[in-house]
Amino acid sequence: MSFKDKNFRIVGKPMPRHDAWEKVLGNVSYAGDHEIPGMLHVKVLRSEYAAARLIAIDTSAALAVKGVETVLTAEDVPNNETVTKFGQTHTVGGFEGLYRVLAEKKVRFFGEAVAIVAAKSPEICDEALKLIRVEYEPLEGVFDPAEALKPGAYLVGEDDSNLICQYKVRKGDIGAGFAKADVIVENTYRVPQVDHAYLETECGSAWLAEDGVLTIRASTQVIEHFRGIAEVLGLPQNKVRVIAPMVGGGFGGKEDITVETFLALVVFKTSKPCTMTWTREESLLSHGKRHAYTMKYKTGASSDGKLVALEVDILSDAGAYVYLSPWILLYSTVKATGPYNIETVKVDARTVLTNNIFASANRGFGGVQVCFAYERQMDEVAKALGMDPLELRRKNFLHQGDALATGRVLEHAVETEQTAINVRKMLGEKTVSDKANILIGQGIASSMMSYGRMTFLHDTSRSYVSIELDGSVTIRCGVQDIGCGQKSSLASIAAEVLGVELTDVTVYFGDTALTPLAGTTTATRQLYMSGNATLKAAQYIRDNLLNKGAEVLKVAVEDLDLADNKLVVDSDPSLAMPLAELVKICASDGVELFNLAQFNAPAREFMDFTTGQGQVFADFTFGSHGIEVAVDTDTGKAEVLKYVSSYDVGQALNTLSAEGQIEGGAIYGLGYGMTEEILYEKGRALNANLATYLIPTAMDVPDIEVDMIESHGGIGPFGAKGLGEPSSVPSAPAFVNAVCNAIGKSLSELPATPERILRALKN
Amino acid sequence: MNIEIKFNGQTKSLTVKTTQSLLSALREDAKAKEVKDGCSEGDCGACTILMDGKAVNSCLVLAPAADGCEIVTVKGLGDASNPSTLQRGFVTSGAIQCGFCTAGMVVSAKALLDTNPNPSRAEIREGLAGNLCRCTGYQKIIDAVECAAQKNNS
Amino acid sequence: MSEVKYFRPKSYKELNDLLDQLPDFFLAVAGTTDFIPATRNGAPYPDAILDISQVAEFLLIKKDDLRISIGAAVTMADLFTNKIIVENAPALASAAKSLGAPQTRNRATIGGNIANASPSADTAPVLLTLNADVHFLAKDGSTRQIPLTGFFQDYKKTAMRADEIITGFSFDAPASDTWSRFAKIGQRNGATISVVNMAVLISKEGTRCTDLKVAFGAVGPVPLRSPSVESLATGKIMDQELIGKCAKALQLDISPISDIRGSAEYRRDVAANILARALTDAFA
Repeated sequence: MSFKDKNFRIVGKPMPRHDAWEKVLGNVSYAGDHEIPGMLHVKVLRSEYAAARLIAIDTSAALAVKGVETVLTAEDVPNNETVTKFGQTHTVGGFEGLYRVLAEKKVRFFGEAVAIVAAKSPEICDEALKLIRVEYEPLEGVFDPAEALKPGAYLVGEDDSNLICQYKVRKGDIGAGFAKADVIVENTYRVPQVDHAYLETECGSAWLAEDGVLTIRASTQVIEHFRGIAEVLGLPQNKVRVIAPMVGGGFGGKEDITVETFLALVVFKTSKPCTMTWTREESLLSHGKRHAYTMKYKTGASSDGKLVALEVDILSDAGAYVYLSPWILLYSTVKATGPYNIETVKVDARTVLTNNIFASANRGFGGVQVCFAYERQMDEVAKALGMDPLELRRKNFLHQGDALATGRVLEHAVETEQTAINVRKMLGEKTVSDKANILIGQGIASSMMSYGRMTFLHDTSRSYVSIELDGSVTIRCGVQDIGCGQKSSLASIAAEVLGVELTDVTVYFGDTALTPLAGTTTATRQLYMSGNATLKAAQYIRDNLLNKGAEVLKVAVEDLDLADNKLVVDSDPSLAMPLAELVKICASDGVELFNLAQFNAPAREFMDFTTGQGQVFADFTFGSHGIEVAVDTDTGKAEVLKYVSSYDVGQALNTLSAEGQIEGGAIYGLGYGMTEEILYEKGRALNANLATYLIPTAMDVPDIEVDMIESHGGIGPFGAKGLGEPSSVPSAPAFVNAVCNAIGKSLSELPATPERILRALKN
Repeated sequence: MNIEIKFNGQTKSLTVKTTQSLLSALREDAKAKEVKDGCSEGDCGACTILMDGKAVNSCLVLAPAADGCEIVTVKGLGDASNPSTLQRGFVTSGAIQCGFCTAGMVVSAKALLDTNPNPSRAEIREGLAGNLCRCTGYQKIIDAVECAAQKNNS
Repeated sequence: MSEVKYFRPKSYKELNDLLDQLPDFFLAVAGTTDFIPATRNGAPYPDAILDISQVAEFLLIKKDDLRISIGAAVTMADLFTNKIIVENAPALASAAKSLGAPQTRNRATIGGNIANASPSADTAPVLLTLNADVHFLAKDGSTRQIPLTGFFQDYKKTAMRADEIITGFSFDAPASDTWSRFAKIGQRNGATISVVNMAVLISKEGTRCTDLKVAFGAVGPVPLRSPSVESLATGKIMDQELIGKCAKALQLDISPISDIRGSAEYRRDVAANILARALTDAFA
């Protein structure tokens, strides 16, 4: 195949996205835009207590309101309690979490769903919600994971312990390691719960199709929840259909079930179509957050800068329900060392139930919290050694062929060191301040973040590609598009392989009934998985076309290519044939012009949790950020003057998209560093709106200078690596490292708000 | 009560409650689903429309206050056969990811260019400070507006 | 539940003519950028909404001799683009430009910002340093005006009666050689609520401060002037020692609380720092 020599027509170029026009013209129907005549509106009654016994619910007054169709509580749900199994394809025993649709026995977090109302209008819903009488017995609750582990602590669930699970990694003799160290640096790092703050809140509609299939159209990252929804309702899996239209941002917040079971229940009970949209307050109060962690890091280094010992203790606040906490903790455990070769390592990690909002997936999935810790710690160690922070990192970076502390050898490209060198160079000389109250600082941070799911999940993905008789191309793939161009990438791949334009490809996506299941849009896996499946399917068709072409034109297959909607002969341009003509010949001769391909990620078994050794991830994306800040000592405000970012992307499929991902990821992470935090009082979020939960505006961030290394050393299509999560992981530590460099003090807590910076300056 | 608005160039009569927001009236009564609701409280800008030429958060306008006004949404700026330079700029600059903020963002950008046809990047950031985007980091949106300004002025 | 009545007079005459139609529980609104979030969060709807945003006389900014008057319905966007304001009260233009975001500024009005009486209202400190008067119209058609310094009584409690609306503000234009500043300290740059804000208006002769007006917001239950600082500095030579004393004296007049935007300690430190910075820059 000639595009092996990388003379790409589409891949690697800056292309407008496949779906950009319909978005900019206002033509996309998102999950909350869909209207069905006669549809009911659905709203949720949420708990006003973080911890309480649920004694009784009286819905009679609410049911009596004119226009109310139904009011449902836990007893109306056929299977209100189900067990969350993490793997959609390979069930892993041991860590299973309880999922409840509506609260039962005890409420566990402020905002937990207690009852749902379906009525003719949202206003009637509001009226009915006020009339539902709930009898609570408030309980003391527990809001700190350290407290929750103490004997006699309030038990959040029905188990006899709040500890969900714990992991460890052991490499070498840690005592001997510290004995060798010339300096030992110990710090405790704290990061808070934060929210995804996607612009589109959780929403969707649902209806009963004419053939009795319960259909849900929701803003979701996982259409495969149709299985879980079927289980809740006691229906066969093939009687539940989930459609994901374009999603207005996910970032992991729409990875768990949100509106789907509520909508499905109403349809199940009433046979009527319905719709639901969460308010921003509801979204901030009630959907899963990024885990708050307390991380103790103790590093031993020799005077020449070699890291000889690292001891880490992670305490994770899982909040009220298990959800994805065990897996997030595993990510943290494996990545706790960062991209560094450390002689002896001891990691212990625990995740614990509390009565705070449940924590679950958020961009980085446990890899981002530890990056804050390990990269702040690198700067602290550099300070203790009197060494340049880049130099210290360079003495310790892992390279291709090295092993992680879990024993896993990094067999693919590892360009971290180059990215760190690049960002230092791109930052350039420190800006000189001419004001008495402005201090300038620079900081860098490097990271490793996996792409692709954990290998013991035996991940697979499917895509169907076909060519129509006129040479246009159709893809059907269950991929969920949350804005990163998941759909568009597949079109790029097929267009490249089949020699057509991007605009010649139509992609049907996100429908459990009509598109082959591609797996979740999570774990930075879609380009890798559905991309490879699409590549495989497209190659199959291409091979068929070229073989027939060789037969018809009587030339060698190696001499043929597909480009510009034509079959071309490399050695003789005059022999070209329009693609449509070749397609018709194939069709007439019974040659297959379609393929449903499955891509299997390399499968491994569960790592050994007694030793913490084994492989968990297929590959990682390595990158670095560099930031320059100007800190105002009057107010503590840190202005970002410069932001540079360097990544080994393997192969950019669409350079405009890849840049967009790197820029967007940097700013998403910068919010984590600068302003974002859920503020709590006894489990109740105090800042549940966008005026008090602050994400960066256009005025808060600079342009980002992006550098992309293309090692072609990824395992995605054409050697691509994934970018969705990796692009966001080192922002917060780069920012805080820059601030610490400016003020000459240490900060160990996120966010590094002006108030915290001013306090550090004063002390 | 009844209100009459000029909606993307066409006269429209809507029946609204006095306490209803313009956002609700546009989405529910005028079926203008391109106007998005991101927060209902004026903090995100997803619902931005032009009201008598000025960019406003439609969630913070009472529907009766729009009586007699000219309302323009993103669909009033251009369509598939004749998109505006701004819309073109957004597409070619890669300024759209999930697209949910786009409708409001394009309208705000239009309002900015109407009063300041040649803004600096800092001025563009200031003009778009009321439109939150969680996907793009804003940079390519700034590029798109800069590109459109150049095209408009050439 | 009967529908809330809605009135939108186009002129002062039309407004006057409908005053006796208004029920007792009515609320004047203009940009509704405070009204709508408040009612969404549980504030009760009035029996009638009186939308004054189109009353022609309330949209005017005038300068008669030295007296500047601003109608209640003047928006933030109109304020900071208006020649009279930019030339005579640049700190007010600065405050208007800092409020919210472009969409809010196209709707939010100076009348609404003051009537809402948030301690962090951005136009309040500037108007206080300008010694502005606030003008009222009552339901019975009578009018009055009081100094703004007497308007803010306690947290969200003002001297405006339930049967009154604000019709506008007036103040003497400061001399052309006065030095002024409006400073807004927020948690982020764009679309932010003030954690501390400050207005300063200084008359000087060489290094002597002949007159000083200082006002702060978000450091107490109401926007306030600082008499301790003003009396300490007025008439004196401004040097680093006096600046330090002023920063200390400020603490006597402010009583910030800790809330989700910031702690009391942070507000005290920042208020002192930005005051010192302003005095330093004014006399540099």
